[in-house]
Amino acid sequence: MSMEQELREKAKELLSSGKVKVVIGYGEGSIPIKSTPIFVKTPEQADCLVLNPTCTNNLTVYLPQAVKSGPVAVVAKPCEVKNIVELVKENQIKREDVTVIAVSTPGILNDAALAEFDLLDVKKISWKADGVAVTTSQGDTVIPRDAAFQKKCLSCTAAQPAIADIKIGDWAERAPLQDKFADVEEYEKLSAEEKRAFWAGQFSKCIRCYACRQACPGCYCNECFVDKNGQIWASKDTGAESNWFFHMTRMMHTAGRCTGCGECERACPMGIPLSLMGKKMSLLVKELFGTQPGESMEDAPVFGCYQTNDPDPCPE
Amino acid sequence: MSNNPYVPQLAVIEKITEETWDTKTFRAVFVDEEFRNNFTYKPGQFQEVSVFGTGEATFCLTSTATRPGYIEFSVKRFGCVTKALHGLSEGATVGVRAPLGNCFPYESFKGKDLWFIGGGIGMAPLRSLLNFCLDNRDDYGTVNIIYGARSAGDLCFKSEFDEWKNSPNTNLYLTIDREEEGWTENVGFVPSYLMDLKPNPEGAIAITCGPPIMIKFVLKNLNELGFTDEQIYTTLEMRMKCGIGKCGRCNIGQYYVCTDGPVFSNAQLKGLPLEY
Amino acid sequence: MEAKVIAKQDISAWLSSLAEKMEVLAPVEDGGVIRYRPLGEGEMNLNFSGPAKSLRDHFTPETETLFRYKYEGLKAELEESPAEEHDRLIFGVRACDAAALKYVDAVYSMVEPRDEPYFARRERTTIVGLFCNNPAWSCFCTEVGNFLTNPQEMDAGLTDIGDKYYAEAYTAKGEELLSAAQFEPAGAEDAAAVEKVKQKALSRLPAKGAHEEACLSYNWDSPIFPELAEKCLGCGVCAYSCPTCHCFDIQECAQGKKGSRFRCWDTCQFEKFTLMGHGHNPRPSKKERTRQRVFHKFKYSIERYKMLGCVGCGRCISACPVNIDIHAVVAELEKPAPASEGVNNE
Repeated sequence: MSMEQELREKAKELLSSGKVKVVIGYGEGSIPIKSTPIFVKTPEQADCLVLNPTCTNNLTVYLPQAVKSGPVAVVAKPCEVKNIVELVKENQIKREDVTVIAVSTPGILNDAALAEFDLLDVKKISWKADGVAVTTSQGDTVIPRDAAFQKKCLSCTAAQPAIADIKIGDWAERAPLQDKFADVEEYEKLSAEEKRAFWAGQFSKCIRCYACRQACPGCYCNECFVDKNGQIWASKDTGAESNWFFHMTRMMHTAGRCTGCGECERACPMGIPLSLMGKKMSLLVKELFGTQPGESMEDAPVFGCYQTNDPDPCPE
Repeated sequence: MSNNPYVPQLAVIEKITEETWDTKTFRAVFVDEEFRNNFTYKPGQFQEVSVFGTGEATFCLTSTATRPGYIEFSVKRFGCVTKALHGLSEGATVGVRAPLGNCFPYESFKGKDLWFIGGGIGMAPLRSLLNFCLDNRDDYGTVNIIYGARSAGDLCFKSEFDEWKNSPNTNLYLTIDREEEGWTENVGFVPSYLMDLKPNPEGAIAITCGPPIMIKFVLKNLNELGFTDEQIYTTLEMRMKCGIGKCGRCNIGQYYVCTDGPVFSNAQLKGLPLEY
Repeated sequence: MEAKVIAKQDISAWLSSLAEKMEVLAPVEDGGVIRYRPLGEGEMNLNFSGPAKSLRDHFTPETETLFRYKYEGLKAELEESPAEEHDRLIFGVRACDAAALKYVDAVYSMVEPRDEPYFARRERTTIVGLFCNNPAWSCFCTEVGNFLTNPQEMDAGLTDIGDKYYAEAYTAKGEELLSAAQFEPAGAEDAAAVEKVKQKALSRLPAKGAHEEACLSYNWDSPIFPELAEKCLGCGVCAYSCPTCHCFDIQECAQGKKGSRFRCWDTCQFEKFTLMGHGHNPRPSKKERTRQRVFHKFKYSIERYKMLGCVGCGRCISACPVNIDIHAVVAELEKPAPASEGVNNE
């Protein structure tokens, strides 16, 4: 049985037994190169669920809202299960309200991999043993793994998730194709001044659409500090200082929450390498607090737990 | 002079009247003499008032151009700009962009009996038209004011009650939500007081403004009394920024409250999506 | 005026000569993103199907100071921001982006007073278009207009016909531009080449829609909107990538006893857009907010400005992180209602 078939069967069981009210998964997008989040509410609708290399969204972003109407099942890839762990630990959702359908896939498609294709002519995108097959009117073209997948997938080890109620796919631990922190290492070669100039250039592109924040399961605040309009904490202007302040504050607030799912960077219409910040932060968190976001249910949440002897350096 | 429509005129706060515990009426005079002398407006229009250092907020013009030389606006303390306004003293300089929006079709009200039905701070926009009509007393039939608030202390414009009452052919009906010591007028909600007073819809116009829940029942009761939707006017409140139909936030369907309103007849309202 | 051609290698010489007289902007690639930027801020890239950003920020910048003030005691003083005073030419503008200007012109001028800061820039800007040879998957300009064959708000327009561009002028300003030394009269074979290119582009695009009639019967309570609301993230990517979106906020930047009033982009997709001081919000959930976006573009704009509020550039579709596709949404909204059974003809 294909992963997709298995997922549909499990979703049907969950819905018909009444264990959950809704299964949050992926459905067909408006074009074969895209999938879209869907909220499956009946066993019949479960046949709309798809699982293919285009299933990129981090669906755990919907959980805090979705659990308000009853128990939920959610399709989550290894990095996204970690978001659920943090959401539970930070009391945003209750463990018993969420059925975690952990899915280990070969990897998720990186949009840039399709640059050479006529996207109107792409009929199907599927996994093949050695990469991703793109089906067009000319037949299948296989894109090799290292070109096809998103960076986060190339460094994924599919390590056992801290929580999972249903596991789908190949969960045998695998050797990463790439070092997860390779770009952080490159970044660290820059001087403090160069780092500042690099981010100043990146943030000058920011249009403050807040797609990064909205796509992030760690950004669950009811009211973001930039949106407060009684006491203004952050100006809404897009000047260098304001943009800098927004991104840096958001990064600090996602410390210990950022699992490197990369959705902020993918959602950004201006191509700002936001994952780099997240990864840098997670390295710092590991160094300072000895923990990695979402890897265990026992570790205290870094941002939500204050101790007087917490280390307090100023990151570069 | 500026042609940038977002730049306000400077005005000096000449007088501040404490209406209630949370509402003040400000009287402002434009600094620029030429602007001040040429400035006029119509009942129902509104303005954007700036407190420098805090921002800009929307208020109706509660004064009338028949009493020239100054403008007035009443401010209930809610958010940051209203708080900042409440902190100002007489003599302070503010910015004003006015007049904005449409107005009550007062020409078509001529010869009619007028029923002003206001609740709380909702009396502010009605006061402009009311005083305009009292200043042109012969143009209108009877003028009837139903004004209610939660308590006697929440009634605004108390200093003008006598003037209103003593105008020819003018009746002031006051009501508060709950009994209070020393209160000799009506007790009860505005919509039910309206039913007690039973205005005759023939040749009459009703103008109402107040909390949404009050407006809802006043509109229903007016219909019940026989007022057609064309005889009923209200003025709407929406979040606004530009006030000149550009910034896009105060639309109800295709209409912008800032330029197509704030005054709407009930007939117009019934043609709009319920999104206000 | 007769059509002209210009060899591709002559484009930069032509633009450089123009740059002596005015600021010249073009689609420029910088840090992996193509934007209309001043020449020199990166590599000019004309082989694209649409820059990441529309022209919007060149007419209403993301942040624009309206005036400055200072106050001392009871007195206050204002200092206006100077109006835009330099001429600009924007080269390589896509037909959809140019057409969007016509809509924004209407929005900012329909009701007096006009938006002078916008028109100061608008009136000093010359637009030289570049038609699409290879529209992107998300493009649907032909469905909402006919900008490839009936360009709007361009002074001149170029079409890539291989080693040269075919050029047509639409205004006197455009004619003057095309009288530069780098241009020569187009031949019959050039005209044929353009026709071929246009036909190929058009073959990738949908047919003209009938939104003007269809919008009259849009279902306010359509189940589409609660569905969209479930997956919509509530970000502003759609609005901020849109060339016709024009909504803004007005804010204060205070520094001690002086400061400035500025406006900045804002969108109906944000919860606070319509939230009033006392807590009432006429569009409290994403259901109302997604409906506002679709209705504003495809219904209210037709009713108010007599033109669609969408130019089919497809940016919101390709940029939406959750694949909300306004083209598909509108198609669904305009689907004929299923014939109801056993209902009399009333």
